[in-house]
Amino acid sequence: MKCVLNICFATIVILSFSLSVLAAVTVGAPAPDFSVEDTNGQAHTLSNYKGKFVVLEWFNHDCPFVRKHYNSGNMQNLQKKYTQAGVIWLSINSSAPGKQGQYSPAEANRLTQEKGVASTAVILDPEGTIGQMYGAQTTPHLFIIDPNGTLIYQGAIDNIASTDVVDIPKATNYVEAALSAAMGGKSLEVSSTKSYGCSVKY
Amino acid sequence: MIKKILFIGLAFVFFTEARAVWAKELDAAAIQAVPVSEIKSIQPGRPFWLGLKMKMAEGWHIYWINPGDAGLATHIDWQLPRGFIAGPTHWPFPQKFNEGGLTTYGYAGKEVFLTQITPFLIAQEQDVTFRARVNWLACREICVPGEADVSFTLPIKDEWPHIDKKKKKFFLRTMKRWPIPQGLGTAWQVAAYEQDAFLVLDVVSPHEKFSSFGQLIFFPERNDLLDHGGEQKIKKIKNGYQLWLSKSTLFKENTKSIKGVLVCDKSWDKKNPRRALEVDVPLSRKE
Repeated sequence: MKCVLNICFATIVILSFSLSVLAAVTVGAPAPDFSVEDTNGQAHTLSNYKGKFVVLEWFNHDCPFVRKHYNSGNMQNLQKKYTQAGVIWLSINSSAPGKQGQYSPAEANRLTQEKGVASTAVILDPEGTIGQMYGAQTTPHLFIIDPNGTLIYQGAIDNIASTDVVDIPKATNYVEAALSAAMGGKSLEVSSTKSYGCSVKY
Repeated sequence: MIKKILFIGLAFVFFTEARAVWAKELDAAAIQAVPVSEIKSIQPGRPFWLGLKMKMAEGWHIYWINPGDAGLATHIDWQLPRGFIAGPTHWPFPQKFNEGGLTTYGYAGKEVFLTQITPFLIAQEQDVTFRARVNWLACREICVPGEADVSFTLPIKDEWPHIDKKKKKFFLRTMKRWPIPQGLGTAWQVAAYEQDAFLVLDVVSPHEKFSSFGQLIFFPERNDLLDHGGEQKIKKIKNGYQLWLSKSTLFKENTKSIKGVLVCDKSWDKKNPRRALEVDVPLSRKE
């Protein structure tokens, strides 16, 4: 029975790869390393950011959930607050060519200006490499990595899954809670949640 | 007279078809909410059904109470006149969507959401209005949130309500897509237990002979129970079937019960045409 199950599992895993099902990263484990170029051609390698907190934020400005957090200024405020505190905040777009929310570097830069995006850098990932590596499912989807390179949070930006800006002040912001705790040397109350949003357009 | 009716009918059809095409261009109108009532009047004390018919344009879908990996659940909120109480919305079983490798649950094409309204106070004969606000997220390659305010105005009459037979049949067809409440209408039993990275459902029949199922799909009510994209492996066991479900990475260790809807490719019972079965069972650990 055990052998049969192992074969079954192996088949599922093989099928998963061919269907490019998303990997899942584990909170508490080292975050997968990557090296990417931002919209200005500058390179960002995760392992080079050891010693700093890193936030990965998946976005798509055409998604109503992302718009909720950007139109209200909620996302930009978080980006500003934490980049000023030394956090590296990377906004990542994994929309595939031809799909909603896919931008050229120039367009992305224009949107960054227009919306007052205050992250450290904007990364375009049209092949979906980083997205698949981290298992980014929705926009938004947030991942927080600590100075040791360990993934300490993954999931939703806050606890009210809606497209309505009026829910922002009512919600518990998981990113804020995680970074305050971690930066204060405390353990996180919530380290993993189900992210909400539009599907990432791989 | 008949010619006139036909002409008006055709014109109406043409108009609605034209509107449907036009609606495609305007993403916000990709979803339409239409009120449907089976009764023509309300008799004090007699409960009745009100329906919200949702029409999704080609390629668009809205979401179930658990939307899955992405999306947003559809909500219906009622505003009732005094003396009336609304029961819960009845959700027909959903279907699975693959959104670029992500698995979501919802409705496409057409679906109807029914609510039972109970008149409590005996009111004088008058017209009363019921309002429902539907909120949804409609997705195709893009997602557009939407809402609609729908109203029903009906007279209260102290007489047997005239029931529109066509609408009644329409409602009965919708009810076939509701999950069979647990313990009623079928002898099938479900037991759930954890086995390592899996949640296993034993689906057993007390009868020796039972219809063979080609497909069983479990739709969990909670968003953090299962890996929605994981394969749901079905195995034949003595007296029934076993469904192996992959736990979500967010699965909580102290989960005590499993709630959801088990959908079969055919009806569960010869006597009951429904294909969906409500599951609300304790979760045990296999020794």
